[in-house]
Amino acid sequence: MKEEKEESNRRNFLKLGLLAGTATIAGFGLKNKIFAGDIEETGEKVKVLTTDGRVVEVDSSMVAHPSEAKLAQFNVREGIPGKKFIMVIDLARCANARKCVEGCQSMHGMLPPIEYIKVKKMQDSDLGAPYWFPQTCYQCDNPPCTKVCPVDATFKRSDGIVGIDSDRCIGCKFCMAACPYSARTFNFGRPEQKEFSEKHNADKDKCCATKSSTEGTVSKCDFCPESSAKGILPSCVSECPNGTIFFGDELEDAVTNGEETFRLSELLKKRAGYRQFEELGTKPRVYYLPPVERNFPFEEATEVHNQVE
Amino acid sequence: MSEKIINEEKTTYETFTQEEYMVMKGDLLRPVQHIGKWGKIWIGFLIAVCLAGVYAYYIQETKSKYVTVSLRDYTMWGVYISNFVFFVALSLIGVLMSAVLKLTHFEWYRPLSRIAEVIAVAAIMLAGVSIVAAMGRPDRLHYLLLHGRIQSPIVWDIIVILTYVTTSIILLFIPMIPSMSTCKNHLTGKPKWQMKMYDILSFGWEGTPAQWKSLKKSVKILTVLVIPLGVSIHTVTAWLFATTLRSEWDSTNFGAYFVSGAFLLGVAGMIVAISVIRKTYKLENYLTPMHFDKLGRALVMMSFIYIYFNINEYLVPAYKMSGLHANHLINLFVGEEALFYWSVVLFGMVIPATLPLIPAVRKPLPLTIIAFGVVIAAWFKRYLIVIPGLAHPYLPIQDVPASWKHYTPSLIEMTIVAATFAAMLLIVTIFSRFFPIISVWEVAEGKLEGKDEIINYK
Amino acid sequence: MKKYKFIIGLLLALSFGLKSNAQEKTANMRISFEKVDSANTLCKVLVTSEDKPLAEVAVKLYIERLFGLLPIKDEVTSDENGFASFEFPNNIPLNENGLLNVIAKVEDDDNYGSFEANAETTIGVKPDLSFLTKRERSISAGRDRAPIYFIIASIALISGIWGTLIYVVLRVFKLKKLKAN
Repeated sequence: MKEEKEESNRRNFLKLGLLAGTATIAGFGLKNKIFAGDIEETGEKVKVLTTDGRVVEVDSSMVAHPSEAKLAQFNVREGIPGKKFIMVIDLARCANARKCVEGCQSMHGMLPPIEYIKVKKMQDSDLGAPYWFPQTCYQCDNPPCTKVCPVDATFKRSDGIVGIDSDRCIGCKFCMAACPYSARTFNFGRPEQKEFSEKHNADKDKCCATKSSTEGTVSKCDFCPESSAKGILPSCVSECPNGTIFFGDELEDAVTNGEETFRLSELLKKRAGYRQFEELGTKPRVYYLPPVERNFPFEEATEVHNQVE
Repeated sequence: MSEKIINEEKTTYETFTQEEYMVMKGDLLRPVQHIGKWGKIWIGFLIAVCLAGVYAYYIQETKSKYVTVSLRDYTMWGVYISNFVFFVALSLIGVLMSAVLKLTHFEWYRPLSRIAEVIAVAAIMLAGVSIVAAMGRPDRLHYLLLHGRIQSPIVWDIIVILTYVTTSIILLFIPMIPSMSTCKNHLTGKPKWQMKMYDILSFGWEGTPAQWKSLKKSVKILTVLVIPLGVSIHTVTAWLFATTLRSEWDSTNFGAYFVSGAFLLGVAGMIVAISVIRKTYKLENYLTPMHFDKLGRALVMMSFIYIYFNINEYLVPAYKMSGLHANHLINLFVGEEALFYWSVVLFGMVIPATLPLIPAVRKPLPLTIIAFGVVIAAWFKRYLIVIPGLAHPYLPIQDVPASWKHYTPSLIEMTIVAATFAAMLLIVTIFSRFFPIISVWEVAEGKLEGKDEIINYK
Repeated sequence: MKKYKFIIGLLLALSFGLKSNAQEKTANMRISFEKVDSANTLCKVLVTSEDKPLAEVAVKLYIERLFGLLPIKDEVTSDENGFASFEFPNNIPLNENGLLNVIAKVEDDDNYGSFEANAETTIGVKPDLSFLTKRERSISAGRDRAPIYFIIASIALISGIWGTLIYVVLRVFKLKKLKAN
């Protein structure tokens, strides 16, 4: 446990802010009231994206996030207090641009063919229309993966996220067998990946408290909790050119794709949100909005992306 | 049926004299007393294969597993896990061939029980090795003790495996105490340490009536205990699959299906084992055609039980052909794996269920051939349960490299699997070279059936 | 070519200059809440410039959330008294301090440019945070929160079986005592 805390302490938020590039902040003049007492000018500038689309440079202390000290107080296994992250994916908007996949890979320092978020072509029935289906880890509320883990290496946190402690994982892969969504990936130590991870040692895992590049362990999408706690959207959300993926805090009843913000309850009601394979009882934290009145006609993918072994 | 067998036993066996006993002892101690040239070559060969496996494991652990092992994200459990299931199944041989027969007074168990138990101990050890080979981080094995979660089926499996291996070892060694005394008194020209070992392991055995009474009670307690343990070890192994949400494994039938398969494998394994042992160690007088006849009948019965569970497992879902099962079942029945699947059905179930019905087939040679087929088919059966079961997840596998879709075990994996087999045979071989593989006193006692006498076998 | 660029630049600079000139007048907003009845609240935004109410200014109202601003409604234009009135929902979850940060914005107004104001209110619902303290024992929870029946059953089974094993082994060691003498 001690190790993990140190790990999260070491995370350099400032670099994170710079590299994340398009972080969203909300009325940063108000921050003093929310995190009173924490604010100290750091002298470092971060680039942030305001809600009206301007990129501005501000002192890192101005950004909507709990301070490092405050983040270090909570346990990686417990989650960020008072948050319950949730995702809504609007299937009507997905055009298989694959920017979420690429953004995620660069955020986590992963090379193809490893994808924490996948975009699949789905067709529910013979006459049904095909659609693109972005799929992350669903961070289930009744997670089949944490049930089977023999060593507590994967766990459900209070903020809704199913985390992995890669310093604990023994690599039995039982969680992967248990996951009905095939959301988990195993680090088999692919040579190209290893080389890449070593080269980019400094900027891997820009958003996560737990390392994702430990060979011989399981990793997966984790809703980028470290940056999410600071109000920075996961890169699959911010990179999508079509605003397909919405992210937010269930306790705030709001989700955003970076440009539009909706009330979660109203969005799910109005658009008949559903969860994949509800009958399995896993209670996913990712909702889908059915692909009705689509923004784009379905176009078959002509390119094969992950052909290289 | 049991009544008939007991009657048979009583008419077949005559009481024996001290002289006959000395002959018997000579026969049964012979493999320990003298190791021939071929015996040494065989041991050398097994050690070589084991070393190849150790080297393969060294390569696997030091180089990238992406290169050395064909496992990928979808087929993340491969041949190591199916091999693990096979060895767990094989270890039930001890339960069936020793405990069940003993408790139900099938007297022909006597020369078989020690063979069965040593195979069980070896198999369960190699099951453990297989699972460690499958681990991504074997260096963190001790985390299972430090951080073990009692809710996880893997932890249950480890607990029952450790319990079963301990029980099996105790159950193997307690009936050996009188044999140790026999070895101590009758073996000649053996190194000092070996004689010392016999002395220690005989626990001051003198064959007094009180010692006999105490020994038999201990054996009885363990024999009763080992049956539920054996059943639970394989049931829990089945639960490793059945507690997941994957439709191919999501079956309430799974535990019983695995246990019945293990019993079939146990009978077949026993046939192969006694066939080899009686030839190489010239023990035809003890492992007789009668044993093959009995085991042949048992093979038929176990095959039918296994077929019954297979029908439940495959044909009932196939009748419904729900979307959850369709891909998997069609793939097995008429798809890519069809030839594989139907060969396993033929050699692993249909042939052993039917051919041994003919008395002439229950002779040693033909029955051994059939049983050998069953053992091979049983290994592939586990492969077919584990690997194609992973190839059809709920969400389609798309846009992945070719190796992610089709799993073919790599050379490293197959070498390690071969080494686990060699190691199992090596354990059995080494055991039979240090201890009488057939229990002298149990056989002698069997021949005294009907008399109240306890002979002091010195 | 260079000439054209210069002219275009000049024109641009001129137009920006004009624009900034037009925005010299500054405006302010003040947010207030007015209870209509027990269930409904009005959020009134008063737009003023030099203490005079401004009419016909399009105001947007937002609530601050972790990742962005949640719009309350499409924009409302201020009336002749300078008030832009919004029906304020009473079921928005409050933040961790039990408050809502309400932000009113005017964007690119012809005369007054962009400006904003904010206020805090307690109108809303407190999110149910009981899950933070009430962490149930379950099969999917960590090792320290295993269900009691699980722990009892496993301890009973394990100790029963291992107890028997130890008993049997002890009997073996006692065999020596059962010698003839």
